[in-house]
Parts: sequence; structure tokens; C-alpha cells
Amino acid sequence: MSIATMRQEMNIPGIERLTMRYEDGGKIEVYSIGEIEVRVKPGANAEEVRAALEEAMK
Amino acid sequence: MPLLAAGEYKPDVSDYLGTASRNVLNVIPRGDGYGPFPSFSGYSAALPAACRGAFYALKSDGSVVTFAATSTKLYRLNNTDFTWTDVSLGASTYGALTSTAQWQFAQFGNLVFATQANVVLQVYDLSSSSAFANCAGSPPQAAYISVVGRFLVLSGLLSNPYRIQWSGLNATTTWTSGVNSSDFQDFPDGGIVRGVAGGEAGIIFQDQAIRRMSYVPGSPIIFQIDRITQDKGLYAPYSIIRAGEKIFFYAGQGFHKIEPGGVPEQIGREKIDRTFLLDLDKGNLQLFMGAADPRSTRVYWAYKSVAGTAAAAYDKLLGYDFVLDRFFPISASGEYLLGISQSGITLESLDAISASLDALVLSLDAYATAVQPEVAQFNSSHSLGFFRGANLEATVESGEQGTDENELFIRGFKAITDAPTHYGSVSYRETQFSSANAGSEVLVNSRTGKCDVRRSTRYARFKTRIPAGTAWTFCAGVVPDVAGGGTQ
Repeated sequence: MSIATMRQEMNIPGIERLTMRYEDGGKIEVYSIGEIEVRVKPGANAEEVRAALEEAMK
Repeated sequence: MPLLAAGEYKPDVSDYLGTASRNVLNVIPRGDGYGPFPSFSGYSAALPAACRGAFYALKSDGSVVTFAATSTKLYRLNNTDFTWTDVSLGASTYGALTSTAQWQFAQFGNLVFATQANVVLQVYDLSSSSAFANCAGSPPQAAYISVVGRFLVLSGLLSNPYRIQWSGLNATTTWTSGVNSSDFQDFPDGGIVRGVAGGEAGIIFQDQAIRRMSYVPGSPIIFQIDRITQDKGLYAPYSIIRAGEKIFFYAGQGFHKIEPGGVPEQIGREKIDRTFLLDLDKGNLQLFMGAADPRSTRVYWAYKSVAGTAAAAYDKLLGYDFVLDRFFPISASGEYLLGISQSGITLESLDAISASLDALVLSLDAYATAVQPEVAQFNSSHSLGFFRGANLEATVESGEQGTDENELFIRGFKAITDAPTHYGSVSYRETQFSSANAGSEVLVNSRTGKCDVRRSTRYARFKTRIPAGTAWTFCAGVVPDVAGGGTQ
């Protein structure tokens, strides 16, 4: 999994702007699309990231 | 009598009537046999504690900057008096290195990076820094670091060991994936990532897989990653050596090399692999580390053997000449092995070392700048130095000779060497299943050049020992003086 493959495989509005940064030395991963940010556990899979992003977009 | 050539060191296989030897020590292979290996000669002051990583960087003016690490500190070598200056972040103490790990370093332009999994990635600007600082951009904490093309690549991530993460293109403070070509790659199979060998293309080493990462300019995937081995990975993370375009490493199946664009090839099979695996202390793989000697065609692995007694030191080196395709063992103990360029000193600064030329311990050559790196180590006293001392005691033994049916009557042998002082002995046995008996050692006869040993036996090996400190250049083998004996 990588950002490039997530952008290709997820069907979420604005997915082409998906980025991911680390917090706390990598213990937290912060996925962002524009203003929307979700924090997930390290190594969260694409489905977990998609679910978190969709929840944040509601 | 014909020359019994000094054979290739292949302790994995029987040496009976073969060209191989099971017993050579402290010699380097040459086209005509073996040559001497020099002893360690220290030149730096001692670190305050055991060395747990070291690196040299080249500044834009060509000068050399040397860094070293202890478990909790980073140091820079003072090029005038060869003492160590604490360049740790805020002169403080880092989170201790785990006992099975070492610090790793990488240079990217003017920046030197230092990493270990318990610390935020550290960076030092060669043009302006007086101490390391936390790398900006919130990179993940990682055990391993390398430079692939124009990317900094982290692996052995503390929070996700199945991932590699690379920086932005030419942007070592960009660690946000999706920005400026920075991204990560997770590997669902192949196990934990144990390191990445850098270069124009990177080689990713996992427990049970090896992959090649190749930059694809303009592509959204950034790197194309191809698996190049199945069920073969890296056994010891610090055993990776990059020597020019070649990469050497130790897998569970033995020693390997990867040629540019190629796949791993075994180099120790039926030579050294079985013997080495039995000898390796598998509980101290952090001391199993490799380094190239770019002045020659040799690479070296240091390792702690099962007989090693010091807790934080290796006790053996295993060399490999990749042009001659020959291994050779060296007896040397130390804390950290590396290829390094020597930082130099100006004539004006010599006073800082000694007020008198006569009182210098090392020769003036030892203080010259050498941009070309060579193999070096931190010894068990935490001092950095090179292998430039007097020759170590050398041993070269022939393969086993015999005639099966008849006894040999040995009247001696002549070692074909220019060593003015050497000793000869013959080990012997009557059957292939009995242990060899070590014969008495005799000094070479200065008049005849022969080692006068007398022995009647069925099987024999001829051993030449050259004492430490002897000046010599070659040992091509032995010419035995043997007559056929009776049957038994």
C-alpha cells in the first residue's frame, strides 16, 4: 500500500489530493484531503483509511 | 618436487588431494598465493563508551568529517588532535540504542543524517552545524537509512516494520506522503524490512524477500518495486555491503552478491557457508557487520564467534576478494567495522599532537588526508584506526596429501615465501577418520631454506607459520621433500 495506490483505488471525492504525514515519530498517521484530517493507527489498511475519511466527510 | 600451491580457503569441503585449504589465517589472497595482513593501528582518541556506529562525510571543499556514535551520544572527530567532540542534540543524551542495533548514517549533499529507532531522525549541516538537530518534516523513527537516487529512504520503522518511507525528491525535510514525490510502500509479504542498500536503484532487504526499487520519473507510483528473490532475505541487517556497484550480504542460505541489475548469487556455497554458520554467535547479530575496502577488491565482515568472550566486541573478520573469488579469515577484535577516509592535519597543526617530531607515535603519513576510503575499525578500547600496523602472525596450511595405500616418508619441505623467518610443521594421521596430530614446529634452515621435519605417515598437511612483525610479501605454497614408504 502507498499513497499512490490509495489514490488510484479509493472512490472518494478529492482523493487525488490525499496525503499522509506522521505524528509522534510514526505512532500516529494523519491522512488528509484538503481540510479533512483523520488520525489512524500505524499501518492502517486502505479500507480503514477510507472508512475514517468517509466518516469525517459526513 | 612440484610446488604444492597454497590453496583457496574452503573449510566447508574436504581438502584431501585437493587444491583447497582448511587452515589459513591472517593472510590476504593474491594471484600467486597469499600475502600479509597488517595489524590494527589506532589514530584517534577513545570514545567515552563503546562505538555503536560511525561514518565519514566529505565536505564540498574535499575535507573529511568523521562521526561516531555511542549508545546515547553522537560525536564528531576533531581533525587537529583526533579527540571526539560531543555533537548530540543540545549536548543531551538520546534514548538508548537497543542492544541488537547500531546507529546508521547517510550523507545527502551537505547534510549528514543519523538514525536509530528510539530517536527522531537527526541531521547535521556540514557547512554550519555545531550539533545534530531533529530533522524537520516529522519523519517516522527508523532503524535504517540510505540514499536512493535523490531520495532519503527510511526503513525498519519503529511503528511499522513492514514499510519503507522515502522523502520528497531532493527534499529531505518533506516526509508528507503525496507531496513532492514523497511516499511509502507497505509489503504484505516477505517479513520485516531489514534495510535498504542505496544507489541509483535501491535494494530492499526483508526477512524473506529482496526487492529492487527503481525510480520512475513522472510516474505517480514514484518507484517501481520488483521482487527479485523468493524465500531468500537478509539474515543480519548490518551485513549489507555496497562496494561500488556491487552489493554483498548474508542471507540465511549464506553469503551472496548482487551485480548491477542482477539477482543474488551465492558466493560462499561449498566454500565457507556451513563453517561460518556454525561459528557465528547468532545472539549478537549487531556485531555482524560489513565494510568495503575501496582501495582493493575486498570486502570484510566482522562477527562475534561462538568462542568470542567480550560482550560488546566481535572477535573475527572474514574477508572476500570479489575479483579472485576467495574468502580469507582474519583474527581481529573490535567494536565497529567501517570503510572510512582519514581526516588529515596540516603541518602547522602538528604541534597540537606533539611538540617533537621524534616523539610522534605514528608516522607523518598517518596524518595525511586520504579521500579514498579504506577499511578501519574502532577497537575494543573505543579508538578509531586503520589496519596499517606490522604484519599479523600468518598461517598457511596445504591441503591434505596422501597415497592411500602407501606410507609417505617426509624429510621436510620448503615454503615458497620471501619471509626471512618462518616455521614449518607437518600434521599427520593414518586414516581419514582419525584426528590429525600436530607435528613439532621447526624454524626454517637459513642455509637450505628448508624446514627439516621427518615423519612417516599416510596422510599429511604442510603448515607454514610466519611470526608477527615479519616483513614479507608472498607465500605461494610449499615444495615437499617426500619419498614413498612401505605399505602397512
